[in-house]
Amino acid sequence: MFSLLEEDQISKGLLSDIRAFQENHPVPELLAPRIPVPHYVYYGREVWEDAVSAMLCGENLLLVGSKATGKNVLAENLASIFGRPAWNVSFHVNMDASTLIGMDTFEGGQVTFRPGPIYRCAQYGGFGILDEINMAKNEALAVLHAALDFRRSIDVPGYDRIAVDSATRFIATMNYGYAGTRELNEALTSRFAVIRMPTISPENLEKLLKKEFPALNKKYTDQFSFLFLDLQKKCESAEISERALDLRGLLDALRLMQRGLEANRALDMGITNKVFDTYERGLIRDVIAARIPARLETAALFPSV
Amino acid sequence: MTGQGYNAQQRRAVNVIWTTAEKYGFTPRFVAFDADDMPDFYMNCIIGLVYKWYGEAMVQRLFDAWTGDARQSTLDGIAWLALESAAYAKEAPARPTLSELRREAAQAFFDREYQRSRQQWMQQDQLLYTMQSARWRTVLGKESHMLTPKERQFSETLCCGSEWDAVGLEREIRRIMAQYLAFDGHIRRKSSFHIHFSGPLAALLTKLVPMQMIRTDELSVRHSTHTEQGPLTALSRALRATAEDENEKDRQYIETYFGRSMLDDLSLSRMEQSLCTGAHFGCHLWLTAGAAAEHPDNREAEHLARQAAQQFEKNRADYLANGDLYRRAQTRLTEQIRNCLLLHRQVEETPSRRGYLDGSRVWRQPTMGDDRVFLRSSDQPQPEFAVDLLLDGSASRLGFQEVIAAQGYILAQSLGACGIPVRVSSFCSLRGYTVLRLLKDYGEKPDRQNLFRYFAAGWNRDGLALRAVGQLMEQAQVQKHLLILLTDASPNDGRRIQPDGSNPFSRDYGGAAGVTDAAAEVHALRQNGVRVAAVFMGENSGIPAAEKIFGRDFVRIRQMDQLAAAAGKLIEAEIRELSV
Repeated sequence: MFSLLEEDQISKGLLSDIRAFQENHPVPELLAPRIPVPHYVYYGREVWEDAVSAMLCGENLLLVGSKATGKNVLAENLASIFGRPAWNVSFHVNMDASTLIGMDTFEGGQVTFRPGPIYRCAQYGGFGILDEINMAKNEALAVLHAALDFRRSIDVPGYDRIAVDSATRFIATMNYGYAGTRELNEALTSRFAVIRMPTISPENLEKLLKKEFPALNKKYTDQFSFLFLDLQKKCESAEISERALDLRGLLDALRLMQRGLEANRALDMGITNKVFDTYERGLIRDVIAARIPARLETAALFPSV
Repeated sequence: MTGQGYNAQQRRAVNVIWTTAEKYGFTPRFVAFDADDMPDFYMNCIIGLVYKWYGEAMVQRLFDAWTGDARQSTLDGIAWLALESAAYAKEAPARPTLSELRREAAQAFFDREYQRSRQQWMQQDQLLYTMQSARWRTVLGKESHMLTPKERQFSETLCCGSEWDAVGLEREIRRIMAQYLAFDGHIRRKSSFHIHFSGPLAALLTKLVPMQMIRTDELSVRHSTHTEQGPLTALSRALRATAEDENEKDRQYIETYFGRSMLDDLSLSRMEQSLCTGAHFGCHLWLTAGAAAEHPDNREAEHLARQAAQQFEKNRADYLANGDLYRRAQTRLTEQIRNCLLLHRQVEETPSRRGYLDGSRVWRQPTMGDDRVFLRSSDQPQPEFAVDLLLDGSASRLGFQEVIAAQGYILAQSLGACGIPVRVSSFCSLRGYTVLRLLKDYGEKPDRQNLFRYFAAGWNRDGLALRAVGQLMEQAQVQKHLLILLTDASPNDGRRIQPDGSNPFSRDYGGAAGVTDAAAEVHALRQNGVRVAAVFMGENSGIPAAEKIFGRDFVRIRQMDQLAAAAGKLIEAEIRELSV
């Protein structure tokens, strides 16, 4: 990770501060498997610098952005580079305080407290990744207020008050556009440093494609990168839904092409068929047709394979 | 294509243009369709690329130079050959698929040649065809043996390269037009043939010949079906009905045209007594669900009723033709509203003997014998409000009838799917009658047969229509109402406001007086607990009037196909408000 960030020209001072953070906060052996090993790397120097600076200052981060802007990739990358165990909590509409903090349970015929992910995170200095935080009701999130602000504590009703470990950070992600999302209230938002995640730039997308598919013909690396940006623009203009804006889907489609599937069929599986509306599928196929030749075969795409 | 929006095929074509132009939101001046009225993929790509490389201003200037000229279509076609060549040359290096698309387009051009009839061959512009043919033969790597030396030179000149910028290319195309088509920059129009009639012959012809009328106290029905000239230049047919003063004749006229009243004579007269007061003194009300009159004896109105039936067919045909687009809008709207309901519902969980286990209560069973260690969610609460969609059905909506009918149907379907009761009505005024047409009642299933009965005619006396709707709401069983109006915030009726204590002279129901009256009625409804919001579609100059009538509770739409989505936003705001 460090070498990739150095390549991305992240400030050397920040990188050495991260190393110092790691040294000052060793991770118990038991929790080592919780340190993420990221499959994808987030590209974007400015966002990296903003996020790392905030983490080093003890801030919690709120990553706001539409689909495929790399919110979760960055969150995982941060936990990985800081070498912290991560607890990933996917928020939903019926989320309540006990799911986050913990709840009573029976153990040996006695009612005991079973800690939830936020509690564990606070206890062990972990990074809590609060995925799609705005899917939960604001009332359910009120329990996080004390953990997120200067008090840095969690008071479990009927049990003890625990202090949040100095290495603990919370990284929340949110997207206004998804079904089921709402606006976060002011009280919660004010407890985060907010980063508006930019849409991936053509250069960074190209970098990602090159890293994932080193054998991909340069000419088509550009085309697939532009194809994704074309879909992104169409999505921003509300001509198609966000379902088709699927970076994972594009990468999956390229994997299928590498395996020998014709480009159009692979893109249908990776992108187009994720949309259930026939008219919208037509619009997406038009975008693809304006970029990718109809009968593009593996030999042209991956000449060295 | 302004106002009414695009149909499904147009939207698909415009999307291709936006994609290659790499920008959205502009209205392309050209959209390419093939002989089967399907979007021409390659040419739409090229149109977008022309916008990308040379900009909107250049396209505007270039084609404005000969708009209205007798040879406009030839000049357009030739200009597009030059633009195609230049845009292709600019883009091809960065878009490898373009050369394949170009070859396919060339092949399709010659494939279509064999399908043309003799008449089509005779009608086509020979010079343009020769140039197109030469271009596509070159693309396919074939020789054009049949060209004269001048034609060959012309064709080669049209192959503009990538070296031009917007200004240079425009200058070059105009030079080509001057050299090969003798177009000197002056527009020469086709002289038209005029005959002028006056006196009794003019009166007779006025009755016999179809003509266009906009507003009159007599009825005008105009069909807004799209034609090849574009949706807003639709052919119109207007009919005149002579105004009769006699009340009974007016009533029969209204009954035959709009359908039987939903209320019996006594109830209607009571309603008129209580509502047709103040600014509406002397006006009448007519509430109908569209049931046919029992004894139609007014041939004129009968004829108009037939026209309305034709509009019904057009509404239906438009919905079927653009079914994909409308179904998509409906699915989106349903998801949007359902999501909002889901987020803002207040779920109550109570201890119960069944449900899902509540870990924090389990201890109560062994120690206290309390079996209620489970939690159970109360049933999903139904929305506690009903929506009334009131559509302006006056002649100002003549150009949008099909779209309004479809949008009303979409909204009714979506709200129905979310369990929100909705009533859809339209209103217009004619011969002193403010007619409220009920297209779908709360309890009814959204039925195309009913909703597609929408048509536009006459004036709009907004104040009286609002009063009547307010009265109908009082009779409904739902506690809270959201009234959404489709309006241009321009109340206008031929029946004047009668003199009263504060104003000794009669006044027009229009302008400031109409706006003040409508604003007062909206205020009165709000006083009664009805939430009133509007979807405003009109000119910029109408915004102050909309603000006066509705305060901040209105959403402006630029195209009629945004109606359902805009109404959806207002409904979401209502759901949020109710959950606070």
